[in-house]
Amino acid sequence: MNIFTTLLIQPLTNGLIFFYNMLGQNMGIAIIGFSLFLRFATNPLTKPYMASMKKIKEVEPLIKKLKLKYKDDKKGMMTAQTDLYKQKGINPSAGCLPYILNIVIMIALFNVFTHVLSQNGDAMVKLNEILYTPLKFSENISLNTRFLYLDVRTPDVFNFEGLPFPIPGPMILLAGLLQFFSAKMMAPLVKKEEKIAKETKGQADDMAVAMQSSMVYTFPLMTIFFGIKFPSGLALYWLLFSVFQMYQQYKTSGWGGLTPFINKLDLLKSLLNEQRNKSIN
Amino acid sequence: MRFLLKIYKQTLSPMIKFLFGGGGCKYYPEDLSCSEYAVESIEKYGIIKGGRLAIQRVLKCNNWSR
Repeated sequence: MNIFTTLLIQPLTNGLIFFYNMLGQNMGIAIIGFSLFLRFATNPLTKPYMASMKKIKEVEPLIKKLKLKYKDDKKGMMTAQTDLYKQKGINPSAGCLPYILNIVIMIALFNVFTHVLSQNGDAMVKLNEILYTPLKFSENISLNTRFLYLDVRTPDVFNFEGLPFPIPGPMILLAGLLQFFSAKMMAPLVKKEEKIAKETKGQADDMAVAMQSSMVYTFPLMTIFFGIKFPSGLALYWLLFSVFQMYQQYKTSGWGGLTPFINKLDLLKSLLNEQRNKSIN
Repeated sequence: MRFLLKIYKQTLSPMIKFLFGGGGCKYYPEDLSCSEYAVESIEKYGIIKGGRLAIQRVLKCNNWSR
């Protein structure tokens, strides 16, 4: 067993099975519960970083001015910047390592779900191999993988007769849609970078920004495309992931690129309320 | 090395930013980003010492240093 397996995959698998046992032996609910738990458990680690990144983005123009002012004076630049950060209450020591760790955990979790949800005949034997003794299953037991209308081990697709390809189900479509929304919410940040990229004229920057804006559309499509092939439990996790992402983005910078859409929704709501009030009167 | 850095910056880096949000570095405006730092230090000191410096730099990027 390699170090990635012993340090991450194994504890996470055991955690998932622990939640499976705790939450009424339903793999779908276990996936939701365990991802929620992990998100909240790692939140204190990543929160300072997200907060300081937001503030640093806000003062970036000021930093640029300082850079012009202290062109040849590196020390002066440093002190001026530290002063500015202090003034704005930015804690520059919030680093990105916990955030990278969080990403690694999420990738490992994805791995865990793939393992646990595999449909091979000896899946149970393999699962027992990495479970700690108190959590081991007896060989003749099979996991309960029904969740809503789904079996979390099989893809969420509908096959129609005469159609050469399967139609993606609601879970996959929702996952794709939510990913699109969460990407849209990050959009203003992209726009800001776009402006900066134009100013600096760096080709690399341009490429990166262009890629980021095209990903708003390509990633949701890829989600749907892969969702057709992979177990629906993964689509469920992906959906949750987008929801967390949206929540986090909302907390740090509001609705972002979704603002026009939300405004329309609010307008619709108030219109409906008015109508209801009228009909009551 | 420069070529690898360019590939990383144009594909993986925006992808990570896109998928996980965030982006930005506590060193960045005043200093090099971690990937640039790694390339420079490896070019200057060779793969062993430079690589060690780069790893140290990444590990130092936590909430409790500096």
